[in-house]
Amino acid sequence: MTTMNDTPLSILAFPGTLAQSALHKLWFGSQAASESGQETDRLFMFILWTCIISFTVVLGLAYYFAWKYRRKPGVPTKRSPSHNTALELAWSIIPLLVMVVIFFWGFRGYMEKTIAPAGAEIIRISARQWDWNGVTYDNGRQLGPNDVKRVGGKDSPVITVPAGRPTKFMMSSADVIHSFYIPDMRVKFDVFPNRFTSFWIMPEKEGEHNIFCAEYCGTDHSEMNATLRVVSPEAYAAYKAEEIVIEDPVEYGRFLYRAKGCMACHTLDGSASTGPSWKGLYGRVETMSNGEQVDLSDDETFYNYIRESIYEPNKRLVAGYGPQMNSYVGLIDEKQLDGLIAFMKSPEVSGRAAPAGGQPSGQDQQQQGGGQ
Amino acid sequence: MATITGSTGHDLPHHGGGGHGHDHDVSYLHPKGGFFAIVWDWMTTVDHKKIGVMYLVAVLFMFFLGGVAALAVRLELFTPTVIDTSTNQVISGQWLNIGESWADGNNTYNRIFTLHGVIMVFLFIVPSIPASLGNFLLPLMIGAKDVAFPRLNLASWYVYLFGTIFGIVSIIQGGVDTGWTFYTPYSTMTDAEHWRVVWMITAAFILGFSSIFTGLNFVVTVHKLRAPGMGWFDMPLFVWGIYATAIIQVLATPVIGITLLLLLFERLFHIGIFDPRLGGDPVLFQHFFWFYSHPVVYVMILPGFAIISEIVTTHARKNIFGYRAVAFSSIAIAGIAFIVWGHHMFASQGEVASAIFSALTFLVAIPTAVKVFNWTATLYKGSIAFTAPMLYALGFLFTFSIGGLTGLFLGCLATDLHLHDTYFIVAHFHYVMMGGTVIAMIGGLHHWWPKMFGKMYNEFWAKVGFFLVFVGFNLTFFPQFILGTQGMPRRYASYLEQYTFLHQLSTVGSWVLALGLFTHLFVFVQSLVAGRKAPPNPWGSLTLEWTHAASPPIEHNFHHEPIVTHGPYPYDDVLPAQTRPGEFILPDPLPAGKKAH
Repeated sequence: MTTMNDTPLSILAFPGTLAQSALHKLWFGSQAASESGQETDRLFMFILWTCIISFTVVLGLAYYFAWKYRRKPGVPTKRSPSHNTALELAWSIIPLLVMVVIFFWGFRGYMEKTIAPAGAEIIRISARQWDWNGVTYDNGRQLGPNDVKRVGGKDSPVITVPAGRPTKFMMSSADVIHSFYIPDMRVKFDVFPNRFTSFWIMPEKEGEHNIFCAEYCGTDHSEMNATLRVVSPEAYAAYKAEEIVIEDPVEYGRFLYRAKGCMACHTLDGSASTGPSWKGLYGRVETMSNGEQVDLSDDETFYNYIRESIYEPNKRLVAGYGPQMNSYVGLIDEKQLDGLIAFMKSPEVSGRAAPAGGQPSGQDQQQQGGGQ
Repeated sequence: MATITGSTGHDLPHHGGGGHGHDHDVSYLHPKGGFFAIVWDWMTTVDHKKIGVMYLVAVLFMFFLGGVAALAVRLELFTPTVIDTSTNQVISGQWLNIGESWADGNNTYNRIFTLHGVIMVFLFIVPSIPASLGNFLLPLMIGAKDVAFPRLNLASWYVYLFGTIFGIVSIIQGGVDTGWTFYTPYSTMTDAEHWRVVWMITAAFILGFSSIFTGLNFVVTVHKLRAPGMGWFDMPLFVWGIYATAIIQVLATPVIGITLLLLLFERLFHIGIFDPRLGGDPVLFQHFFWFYSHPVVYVMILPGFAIISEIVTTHARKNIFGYRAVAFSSIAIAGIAFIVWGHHMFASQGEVASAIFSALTFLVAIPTAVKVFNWTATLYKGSIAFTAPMLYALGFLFTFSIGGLTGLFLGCLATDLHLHDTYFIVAHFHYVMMGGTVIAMIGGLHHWWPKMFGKMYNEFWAKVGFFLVFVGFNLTFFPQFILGTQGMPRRYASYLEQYTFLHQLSTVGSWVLALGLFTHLFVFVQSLVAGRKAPPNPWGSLTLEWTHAASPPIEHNFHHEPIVTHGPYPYDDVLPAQTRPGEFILPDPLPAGKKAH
């Protein structure tokens, strides 16, 4: 049995007739991964054909007239009317009718994408410059060390959702405006620091999709990516039930370094970024912007300076850096603070030999490989 | 049908020809004394023509600067940034910052795209046509000696310069990375330890006054200074377009002034109106900002429409089809422009607001479409000369139609949630702003060049320039539509590998476009240096600047105040004044008893 898709007509991509026409493939590359996304594509193709047809007719006529009535020396023009009420009304009203269709179709699709059905899975997204790591599932599960994938040269989080079930994203931002954009679902919504916004998706199949930040948010806007991993409902239930336990404090700190977004501004290779590099920070004598010298080789001074920098980041700034960091009060607890300090003190980051004891958690240092 | 009366302009002055010696007989370009006297004369002139020329030079220079920034943006995007995954160091792909860190490269890119936007919007395209061609032509077209307030006109020019100085100070201090839209809270937080953001906002604030002065002047000029016999519907459509533009400038620009002032206060004194940490609302800024910045889109494009109406009628020797429809559509667009700002925020605001703004947005499509239909119908049974201005008008129909039609995808709510803030919108507004306004402006410059400077330009090279610009423009921006539908967000310093091919097409296109624009620069310079002397009415036009003024016009425009006895486009019935006998011919006279259309 042949369908429209197999016939040459499918290139026309009229709404509702096709899975993927050549024209659709040219514009989108791949199919939308949800029903509401495919509905958007049908509407897109309808508008596209409206455009192609009206463009061809109007421009075709214009260029045909221009050529047919090109100036010939010595040949006078023929008189012709310069006003025609019926014609002018027709070309005002017909487009208006098409607009009405597009408006209502678009409005329906917009409501469909923004208003989630009751019982949708709710995932909290807390955005920050410049990552999407602040993900909380409805049972309190957060991202673990395995929820990471390298996209465009940077480790970025993987957000897991079930296939065939509605998932609603409740989004807010810790700093500036971002926009949570999933191109394959044909939907985005801006993420604000002073309110929650939301939209929902229902991916059809298992697979992976890109997530981008679509609202310009500063230096690493273009690296603020994530991956949407669609899994079966069973796998999703199992994923959510997983407990994240990282015993080793250095590994825990390494995980937090990424998960809490520290890596957005602090490098591990000594290069300056928005904030000072952590490489060799432990053991350094730092000059503050007020001229004060702080000896960070002293354990107690180091612990206290790190604690202060996390909870009151702008109190004492390292010379040469601006007040760019927001307080992490309520976002990083004592155990996490210990993990971060352990990570900073590890030989890999500090560049110093493993210290003799004095780890906040009292655990043994694990030897580190790679990274240098 | 009445024929033309009043001064016929056969007593044309020949500047430098001697004999006359009276100030009121020589060209406005005639030098007055030595070098310093000339400079002083231009600096203190209240002649709308000289102010128009000074604005022209300034906005073209700004177009050049903004264009260099655009080429830099395209160069950076020629390849994606490649990172060594073990050391996190940049291996390749950062064309603007070789050897620097990843973050530095991104920062450089962010400053350059902001620079491109700020220069192109505030310093180039808002003043572009109104302040240059508008200033020069408006009084000439309505038969006036000057604008209503010549000193205010000069003040507008100096305010423009003053504002530009603040912009330059900001750029010298490192430039800003806020985007031209200055969205809060990013714009109140970034570069907190520097003053450069403050200077840039100040620059935009001051430039607004220059725009208000120009607009106010034009509104009064059109109302009060039309020559005897010129009713509202005898005005050339260029005047209608500039008039509609001026109304928007006067009504909308104060809003951006207030908004930018609040933004400055927020940044400097933390008053808590936009900053959420202080209880402010960043979306409020977007409402304020677009309440100006959407209408200002029409400040940019209406003058483009205005130019196209003149070029099409003149070079097709044909009355405009549906004069009143074209005139009223300008006013309708200016009116609707004020109630569609929320369509920039479909991904920010609630459903009700989005629905209302979407519906209103579709309304603006109608008068815009009507204009395109009218220009097309005007060509019917015309006498089309393929001059460079006409090629630009035909090119405009192509590029502007694409720009306008792709607006449908963005005004439509469901598709906008996908396309908003992607390259689709970048392509869309470049097709409108560059494919519309800039293409129209270059066409208009060629059309009025003989009038403004008294020299003809080289048609062959102007056409070569047109084809390069046309091909380069489409090659640059059409691939960006597809990038957008495939999900490429805008304002990205780098991108995923899957987008490389389309980005490279776009970058190559930008080089062709640049080559075309430089060709035009060459055409203009060549014309000034060695151009053939222009006759007073080389195109056989029927509007006053061609029929009653010299090329270039004398200082006071006309020897006597012209008396207007016909509309601007009766090409079937009136032989253009100031042309050689037989140069233009009329169609056969109407049979007795029949009325002209």
